[in-house]
Amino acid sequence: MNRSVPWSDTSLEDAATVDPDRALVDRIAAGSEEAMTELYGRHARRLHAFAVARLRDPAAAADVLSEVMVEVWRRADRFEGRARVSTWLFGIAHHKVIDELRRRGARGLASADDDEAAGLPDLHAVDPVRAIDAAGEAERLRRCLERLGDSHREAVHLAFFEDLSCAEIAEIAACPIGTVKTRLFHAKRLLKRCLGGETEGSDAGA
Amino acid sequence: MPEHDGDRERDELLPFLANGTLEPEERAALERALEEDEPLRHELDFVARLRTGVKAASDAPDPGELPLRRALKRIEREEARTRRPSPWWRAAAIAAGIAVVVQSGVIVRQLYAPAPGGPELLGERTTATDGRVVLQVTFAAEAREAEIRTLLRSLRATIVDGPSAAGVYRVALDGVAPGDAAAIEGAIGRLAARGDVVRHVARE
Repeated sequence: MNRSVPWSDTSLEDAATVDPDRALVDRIAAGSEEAMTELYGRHARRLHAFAVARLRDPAAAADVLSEVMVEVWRRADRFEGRARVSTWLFGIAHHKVIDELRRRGARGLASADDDEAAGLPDLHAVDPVRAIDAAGEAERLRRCLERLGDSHREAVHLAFFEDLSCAEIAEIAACPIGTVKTRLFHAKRLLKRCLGGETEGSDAGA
Repeated sequence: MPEHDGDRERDELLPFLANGTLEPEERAALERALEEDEPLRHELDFVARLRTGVKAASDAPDPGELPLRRALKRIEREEARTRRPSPWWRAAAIAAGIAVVVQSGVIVRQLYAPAPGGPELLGERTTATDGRVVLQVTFAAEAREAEIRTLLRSLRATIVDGPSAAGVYRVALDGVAPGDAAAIEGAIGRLAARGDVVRHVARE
């Protein structure tokens, strides 16, 4: 799967040149609390949703959000603008979430990339459209998302909730582009299996 | 979906076709493939519905202003602490701790130095890093000096600067070549794994 991809640092740099958040970061670097408040207002909900998706705990996610903002204050003067500010913020949040997962001791339970899908039943037996239709209720999908490993859940959130590019997700998760694709591929299969299983009436929420 | 390499590659691009972030060339190629591949179209349908479902399933509440207020309060406390003179005993203890750690680093460097550097070797241990790999490390507030010393010695690491106003130290990895990404990641991983001693670590 060694494919060359057309998107790269160059497109990220192009994005950075028109990033409206850049001026805010510069002002934060100069000590502006007002700019901090404005940046928070622009990104807090998304960063919080990202942390909730991974931690499944709104209070812990709020702690992560607070930590992210402290880190932004500390590191604003070192922001180089190679990527969009939002990508930088998600990258900080990614590491803060990992810190929290480490504190909980849960990281090792849920970070498999390639092996998690091993031993899946024949996916041809599951009609994906029927599966997602039947599992249309948000609660059912939520339960299946919760069963994903952390790295898979992160990739799904960033690709489908945040609509980020593969390169941006790779930058946030500090991993190669191929790893992002693999994580999404397996996450998709696992979700299909979970939703198909629920459609068939098994105890998928256990 | 069949499991040929080409099929897998196309399948892996579907999420980015669905979320509209695919580059034009890849998008065009994938759309051509979709015209001739019914299972791939089914898969795209699933991915698109999954995307819609993920957006609908997000149940994160509005975090409100509290996380920001807590962050600003913490920043204010940290900055006040760096401005305010410490009690003499605390300043002395911190200075002694840093002195021991730096001294340990020098000893380690002397032990592992490829050749005796004489006076130049001592001169290097201030803020000059001479091409060495440098990490930025924040130690946990509750970390003991002995723990920091042991950890840094085990990595052949030396404090070369700090703490900054935000409590960040610059730590040089003496035994690691700048191009040795695996060794650098290994050292960062070992530091990060000691959450009881290291609060944050990143390559400079």
